[in-house]
Amino acid sequence: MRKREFLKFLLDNSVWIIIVVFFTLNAFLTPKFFTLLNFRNILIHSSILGIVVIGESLCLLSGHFDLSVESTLALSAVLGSMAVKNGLSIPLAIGIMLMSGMLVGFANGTLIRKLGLNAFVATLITYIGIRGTALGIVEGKTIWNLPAAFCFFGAGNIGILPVQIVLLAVLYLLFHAVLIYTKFGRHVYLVGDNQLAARISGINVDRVVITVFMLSGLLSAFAGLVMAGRLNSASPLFGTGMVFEAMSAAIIGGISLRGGIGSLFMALGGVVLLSSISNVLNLHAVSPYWIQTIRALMILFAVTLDSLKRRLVRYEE
Amino acid sequence: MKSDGILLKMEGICKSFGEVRALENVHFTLSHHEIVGLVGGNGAGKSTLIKILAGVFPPDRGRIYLEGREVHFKSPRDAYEQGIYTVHQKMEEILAPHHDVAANIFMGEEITKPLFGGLLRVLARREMEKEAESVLSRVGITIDSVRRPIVSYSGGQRQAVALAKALRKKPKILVLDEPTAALGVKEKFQVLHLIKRLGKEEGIPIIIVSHNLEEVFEIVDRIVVLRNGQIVGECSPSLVTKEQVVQMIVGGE
Amino acid sequence: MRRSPLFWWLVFAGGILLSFSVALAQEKLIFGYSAPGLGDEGQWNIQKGFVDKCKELGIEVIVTDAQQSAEKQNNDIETLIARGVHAICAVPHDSAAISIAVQKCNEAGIPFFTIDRGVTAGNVVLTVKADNVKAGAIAGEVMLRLLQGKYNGVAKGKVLEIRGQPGQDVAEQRAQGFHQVLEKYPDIQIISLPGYWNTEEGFKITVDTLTANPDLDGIYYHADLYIPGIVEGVKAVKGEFAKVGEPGHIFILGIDGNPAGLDQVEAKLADGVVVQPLRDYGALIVPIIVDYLKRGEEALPKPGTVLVEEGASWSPAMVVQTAAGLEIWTNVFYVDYLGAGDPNLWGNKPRE
Repeated sequence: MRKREFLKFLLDNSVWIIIVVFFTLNAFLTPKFFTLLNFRNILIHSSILGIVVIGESLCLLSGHFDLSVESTLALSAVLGSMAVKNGLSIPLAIGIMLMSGMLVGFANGTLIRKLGLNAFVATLITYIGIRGTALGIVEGKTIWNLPAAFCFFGAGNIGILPVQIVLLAVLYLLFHAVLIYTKFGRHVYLVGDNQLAARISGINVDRVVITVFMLSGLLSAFAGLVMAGRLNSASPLFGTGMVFEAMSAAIIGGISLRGGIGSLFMALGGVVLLSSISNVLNLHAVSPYWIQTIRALMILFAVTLDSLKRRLVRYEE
Repeated sequence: MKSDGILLKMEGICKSFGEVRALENVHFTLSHHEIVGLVGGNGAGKSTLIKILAGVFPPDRGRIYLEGREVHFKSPRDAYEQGIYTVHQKMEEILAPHHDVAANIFMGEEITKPLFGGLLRVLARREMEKEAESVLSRVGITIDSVRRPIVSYSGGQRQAVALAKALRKKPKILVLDEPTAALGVKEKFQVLHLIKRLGKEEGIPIIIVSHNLEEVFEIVDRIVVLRNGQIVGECSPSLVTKEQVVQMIVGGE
Repeated sequence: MRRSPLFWWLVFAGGILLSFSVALAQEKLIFGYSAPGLGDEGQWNIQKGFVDKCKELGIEVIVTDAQQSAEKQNNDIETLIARGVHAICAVPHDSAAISIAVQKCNEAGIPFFTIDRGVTAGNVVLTVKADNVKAGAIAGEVMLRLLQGKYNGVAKGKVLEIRGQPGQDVAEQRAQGFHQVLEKYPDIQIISLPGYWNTEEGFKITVDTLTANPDLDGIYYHADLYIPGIVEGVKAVKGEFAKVGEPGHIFILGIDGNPAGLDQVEAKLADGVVVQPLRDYGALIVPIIVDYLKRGEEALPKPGTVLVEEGASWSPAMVVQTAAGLEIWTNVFYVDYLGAGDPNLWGNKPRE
């Protein structure tokens, strides 16, 4: 039994173990990899995707897809930038951005719970529609040169630490705590694990799911603020294809697509691992044509580990 | 049996689905401390009757009295809040498979404790685990740890956890729909034993729907036979043979 | 005798029909334009140039937007065929996937033209596009001159190339032209990474490459959308951004010339940009389509000739017979901060 417990511990923390191995290997193989500057770079690269992954993970844990995250990000960036460019105050602009995200989330949650749409279909509608709205608002134009204060969340520094990294840490700690220590967090997991059981047991599934989607929208919109600041610009094409990266990170971190299983801390591992891989590929300047294949292999590897772990805890006759 | 011992009374219940008459003028009662077996062939109306009791849909006509007061169930939630706890088909379907035993027993009714002087409320894990252990030991279920997920236990153990979960909520009436249908022989025996204990020692009124006359005879105080939406017989298992009950179920003399 | 109401209705309906046929008899031309995705600034400008020229010539245009979906573009074109337009012009989102629609168009006898990209199968009367290899080559030559200037005439240095989507023809051609020029100089090292036409990816590549190569001399990008990412990336690693002419400046140049790009060049954040005459493709192709509908094959320019028009940004343009069909390769040209304010550049034209 001891051995089995140990094996389970290893599998439970597989992403972080892979990261340790990966970092150790590259400390020797990749020039300039094992430097403080580069670690900072990896974390900066992780931050925007990382914030989106929190929202996506919340949805996945509750047993729902959210395809709309990247569109929400783009809409938020565009709306906020338009607002500051048109002379609105920065707090007001940020308020509009976060509001837009929560509205998209509310729409998703309502389509799913009140209209009975499948989450994939519902968020596919917003995924297309919200991107379209972002494109429509600026007619495809890129807005650039934003006020420095607006860019604080994306490009500012607190002491020597970039704000992005601080945000990443704070948000992960916060949402990890919410998921593990609060009743709401427990309900998110339970709804994902067995929605029917949760409903029979008196959990207000509608409220949980709508809240989860609103949080996802809020976080995506916030990621839009960070990205606009990071790139000192806003384009309706921001975040194109990001939803797949977010899902990859969550899956690599062991979050089940069927809901109820996984932890945010591991999803963060998935984000850092993906960012480190592309960082190493950039540092080596390897042929650009193979990057996608390597990513797919990583996901396959993570999913295999995950099913091994499941088998280990399941009851056997 | 005293007349004030009646806990549940269903009077003149009728229900049709389009042209199909599922229930016709059914009168059904349940006393305190009683285990009743509801038997009948397919389409006899057993599950319709239970679903009305569980608040899944309302009857077309008829009244339901609980402890002498008339009640109207608009939703499963209503019935649940009145203390009628229904477990459909496979009991483990009301469990979250990847959550531990304690989390399952407290599902939807988690205990929280204040943090930072009541500013926030967080889950009181230790407390829930302790209470889960005590509920389990009260019904005589042996499970090695309340921290292991449901998937790591056998079918019978899962059913036991589901029953413990029902028990913690101190239901007025426990309705079990085919509780042993999905189990092996040995586990079936264990679960039946547990149900009997709940009924006899804990004194929880139970309605069991079952196909299996064998187990019905083993644990119930009274058998109610349904056929074509009507009650065609009521008897005590000590006074009739299985053959007689089968006669009632299929009809004809 | 009183006429029944039906009679008056019939008269009314007949009147409407008559006015319709009069309108049709005027033979007003209707063109269909299928855009791959108008969210893109460049695509919007190509479309705008086309529509403006049509308006000027009194031609009606139906514009459809495929929103980056190859399938939707096929449906769009089928709709245009059903609508009975006289000619269709498209910017293919996917050169292979659009072929099905092109063949349907051929069957329906509607002449098909493309801008910017060709198609894999089916008959296209004419394609107008910028010479992407040449654009890459111009960027390469400018980069070479800048490096030689920095190292007292010696051709050496380290250059980062931020590509588009690997495998896509535009990206491959822009890379090809650039490499053709610079590979003759072995002391110039080129680091090529794919940015997938994504600003954030451009940021990451800039940051990572500058970390691995603090001595980087220049950055060549395949599209203007990378500029904000490059500028912020340099800031993130170096702490500050040295503008053109300031000490420590990293040469930044690329291809496109959209409004944001030209502004960056004018603000001396980037050295310069190779501009394509996106807004003027329409001015070039629409008269040819009209002429083709009147006179057929003989209206088309002959391969090997050079089209010249005083003052037009597409001029001079080469007419080339390729495996894909007849193509016109328009002029591309380099602008630095002195020329970036020119109101005739497509990126500087008002959108109204």
